[in-house]
Amino acid sequence: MRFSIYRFNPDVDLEPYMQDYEVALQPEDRMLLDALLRIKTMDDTLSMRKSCREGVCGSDAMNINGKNGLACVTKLSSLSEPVVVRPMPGLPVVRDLVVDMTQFFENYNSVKPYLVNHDPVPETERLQSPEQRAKLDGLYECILCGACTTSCPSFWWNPDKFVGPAGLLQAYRFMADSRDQVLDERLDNLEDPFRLYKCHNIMNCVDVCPKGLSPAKAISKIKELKMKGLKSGGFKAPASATPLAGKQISIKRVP
Amino acid sequence: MVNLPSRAVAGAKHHGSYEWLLQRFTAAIMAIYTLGMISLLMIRQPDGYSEWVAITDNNTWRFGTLLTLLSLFVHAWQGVLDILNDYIKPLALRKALKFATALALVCYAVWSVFILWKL
Amino acid sequence: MSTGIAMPYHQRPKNLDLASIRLPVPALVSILHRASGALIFLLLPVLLWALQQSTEAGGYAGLVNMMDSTWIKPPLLVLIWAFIHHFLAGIRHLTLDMRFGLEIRQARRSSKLVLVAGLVLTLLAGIWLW
Repeated sequence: MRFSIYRFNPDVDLEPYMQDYEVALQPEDRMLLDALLRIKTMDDTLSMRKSCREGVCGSDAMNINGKNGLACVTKLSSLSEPVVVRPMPGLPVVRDLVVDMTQFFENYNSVKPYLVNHDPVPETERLQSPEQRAKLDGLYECILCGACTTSCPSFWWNPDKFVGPAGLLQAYRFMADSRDQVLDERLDNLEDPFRLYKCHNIMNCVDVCPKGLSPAKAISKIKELKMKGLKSGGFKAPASATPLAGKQISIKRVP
Repeated sequence: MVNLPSRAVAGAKHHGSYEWLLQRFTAAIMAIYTLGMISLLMIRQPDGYSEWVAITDNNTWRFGTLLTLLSLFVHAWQGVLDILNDYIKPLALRKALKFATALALVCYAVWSVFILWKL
Repeated sequence: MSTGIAMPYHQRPKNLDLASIRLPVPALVSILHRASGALIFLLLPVLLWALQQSTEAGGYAGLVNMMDSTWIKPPLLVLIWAFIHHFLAGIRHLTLDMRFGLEIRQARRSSKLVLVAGLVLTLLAGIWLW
């Protein structure tokens, strides 16, 4: 099977380039990741991230024949040759298919992706009714692989200003949670021309999500909550410009 | 009380929701006007200057058209801003183009009044 | 060629070779929405000038003459397409905002509809005008 793979080694290369491989696959090689690992036995300089190899850890997202997806759950039989494998678009390339996810996680952190509840901690769990719990379906399953966010042109052009589909899906996941108590603050957190409203509904995110989730729906729900906020007293003007939330927990870049 | 940050882009002065809503509101005005004008033209089939004047020489048409043109300019401002923010990365150039756009649109608005009332 | 020094992070390449990235139809409709809007914006002075001409007998006759000339037809059809596409894609936007058609299959279908309807209506407008 023929492959054309994006190569870049910052210690050696000034520019990335495409390298062709012709591989004799073994019967057990079913998914793209199997083929990439087979190539790696021929050329051990090829770099990629991988871990669980079953679509749960979200490590091996890449651009496959132009579409983002997880190599470990992409069937080789579904791909036309030569299979063009490139790193996820819009993030700095560390090496070959490995991208620097720092910006992605900073945007994720900036929506405070955790429950905020001021009530005293109960002896047992904070309970939810089955209906309340059902509201989190289609939101909590995200594995943060980055396929959606890096397929979004709005993220490509404004990676540091637009939160991106993955981060906004998580923002809504906590807005929708009956145990969370800071809905208004969460909505204010997105009151900005870029953070939420750079989404123009092209739905590339839904197109590529390996878990079949819909950030587009979550984003439109957030916009709906925003409009409800308008009816009941208007959009809150931020009291003052505070530093980026992600800054407090940002991952430092290795120089 | 845990305070979420009120915004992530430090120092930014703008809202987002008002602009988003305004873009849709102005679009609705233009859509209504467009459909109205197309139906009017299809019904009246103006053939010649005098029939065109019969449609346009009244204040209802003038104010409706002015409202639509102003909506168009506001709508265009948001749209061009969106494009410049995405594709023009050098700050000085982006600011210059935003200024030129704003200036042009204000001139168009004044010009529109002159056109409609034949000043 | 070996530089012997690791490339600094801020100089690292990004994979943004747009020709290598698949463009789904809803994304195509969106970029055309943007392009058509930009075109209309750039042609605003021409449109206002035409409106001004139409308010005087001489100018009106001039515009009518212009409409009959051959050279005006291709650019005018492009402008009409830009307007119709922007209009239809805008209506689609509003329906999505009202949370209709947010399923990916519906979104693909409605974007194809906008694309095709824009071209068909442009053709019809051309037939109606000439």
